[in-house]
Amino acid sequence: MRVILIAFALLSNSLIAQDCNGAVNNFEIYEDWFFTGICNNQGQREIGETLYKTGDENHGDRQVGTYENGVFKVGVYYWSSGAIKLYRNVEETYRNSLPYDNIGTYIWDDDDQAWGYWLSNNLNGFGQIEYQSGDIKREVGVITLSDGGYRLNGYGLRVMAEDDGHWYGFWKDGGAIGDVYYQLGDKVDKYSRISGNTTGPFKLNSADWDRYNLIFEFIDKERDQFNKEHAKTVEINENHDQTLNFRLAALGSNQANPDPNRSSSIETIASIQELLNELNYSTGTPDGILGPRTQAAITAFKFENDIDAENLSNADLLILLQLAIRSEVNQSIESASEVKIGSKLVGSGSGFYISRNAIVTNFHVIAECNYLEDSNSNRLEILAEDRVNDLALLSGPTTRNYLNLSLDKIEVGDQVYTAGFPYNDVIDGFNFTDGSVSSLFGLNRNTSEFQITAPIQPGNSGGPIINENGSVIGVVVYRLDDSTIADQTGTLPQNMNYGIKGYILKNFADLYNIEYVAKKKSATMSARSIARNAESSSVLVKCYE
Amino acid sequence: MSKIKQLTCFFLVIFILTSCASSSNLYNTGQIRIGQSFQSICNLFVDVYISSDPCYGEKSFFSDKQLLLVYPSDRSMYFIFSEANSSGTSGKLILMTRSLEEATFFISSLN
Repeated sequence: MRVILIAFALLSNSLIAQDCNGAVNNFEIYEDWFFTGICNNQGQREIGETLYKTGDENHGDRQVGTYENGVFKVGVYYWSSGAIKLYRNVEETYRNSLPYDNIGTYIWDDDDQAWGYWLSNNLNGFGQIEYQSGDIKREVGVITLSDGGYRLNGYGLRVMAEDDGHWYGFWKDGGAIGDVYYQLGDKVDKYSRISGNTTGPFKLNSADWDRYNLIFEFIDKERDQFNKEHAKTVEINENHDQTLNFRLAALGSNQANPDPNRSSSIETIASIQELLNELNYSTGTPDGILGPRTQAAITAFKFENDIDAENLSNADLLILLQLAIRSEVNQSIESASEVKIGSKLVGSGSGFYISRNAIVTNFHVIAECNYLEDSNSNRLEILAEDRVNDLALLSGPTTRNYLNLSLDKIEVGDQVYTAGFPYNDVIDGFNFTDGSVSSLFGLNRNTSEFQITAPIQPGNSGGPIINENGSVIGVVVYRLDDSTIADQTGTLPQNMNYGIKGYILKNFADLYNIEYVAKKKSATMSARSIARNAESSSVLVKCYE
Repeated sequence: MSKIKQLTCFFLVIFILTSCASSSNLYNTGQIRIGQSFQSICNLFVDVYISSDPCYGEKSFFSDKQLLLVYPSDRSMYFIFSEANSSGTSGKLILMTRSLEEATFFISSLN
């Protein structure tokens, strides 16, 4: 269990700096506290960086962000140990009966991470801790400091490192009490923990499923709420650096104590951020600050490029990034000069990942194309075609987001969702709709297709049809043409939309040895979660003639 | 004749012993469902030991949320009902849990 042992200089941030006015650089604002940034006309820090130099329990730490009436509001605290926290202070309030006064993410110096609601420097409410080592991989739920560490104290989930098994339950001081549910893959068992004794496994009865769903939805809802709160913090944090740079430039710094080493380091990190952004690892606006987002981008870059070096210097990282950019530019020049030059965009459809690099779409989406690319101009290549069933498999850039295929039979009345990029030239974005299965047959009693009521439009072809567990049950294929039917029958068809059944897709993928994950029914997911998964796994397929 | 008496006594004892069913059967067989009314749940516990019968146990009414918490004297299960009345005789089951901590957390988390 983790606990923050390092003192946290939050409480002492309301000190008034009598002589600070306007833009200052390395200005000693209070006993070994050096401030670079902007002070307001009351002498209070407004925006900038405070460095705790010596003679203080926080020495070597620094804090970058905005202040309100001299009190730190939003930004990043960097401990000299290497730990960092991006957070936003709020007026003390309660959530799930627990008080909190700041919301944020914390990264320990060994890369364990925590996010959630905090009371001063301790998690105190809903949050998550991600462990890099040990038996537990992740804990998410109501977490408080108890018994010398952070422990689940309320509804929560514990994910085990060994088998990725998920324990859902109600926890007290890190131990599950009462009935607890263990999910491994699609299987869920119940265990009872009463007075320290565990019995089970048992089958879940209907009340258990309700309680299991209640815990699942509690976590989902709280996570969504936190994400919204955190998005605000990130946005303010990104904007304040721009504001600071702009205002410093406009006001002119007094250059009291220039620190060439620090500014050079900031420049290097800003360059790293720029190159990472260019390689599509998002760091936000380059600001020279090694914040959580930049660190996450560096980790992702190292992971995807198999770079093991733990203590890579910033200068070396910069070189590796330059090489990566160069190699990417060369590749895009090659492919563009080979095929795309002179090609004309003639249409688009939808597709979705079913593995790290295999994309499913309709054959008719790609049938007339000489060149295919996604919305980020990455080339897509055809792996396999099934003209009879109107399916195609493409290879695209590697992703970690893909959809599982459902192993369950579909039934009339099942809730379904469709995802894709309809009318891409007009709407220009992802679209998500819902409906239900209205027939188990396609047109002319075609048994490989089924009918849905979820609205689809031109451009949806090839997109996934997803059930309420978030798994793919089919592929959008067509809808009845309104004008043709109107001409023939005098009435407009409504909700006559069709999909290819999931088992046809599975057979097709099996035939070409494409790996995918197939799942039986598990917990119902919220529509919002399904939409989020679908969006990150969906691909706009652009067709060039 | 004495054999018949013995057998009668034996079956009588068995009948008396089994007529009070265990409440764990009720929980494990899924006879109790979320959404059930207070009264229909009480009807299910007619045959269990009084110490396991929530309708003969403790009650707490949370007037601000119209919630009713009931549990048997052996504290084997805690039931929370919504839309309850202050006399603690009505409501709709919204949670069944084995821990008082969860019950209180659940109640305090509800808006």
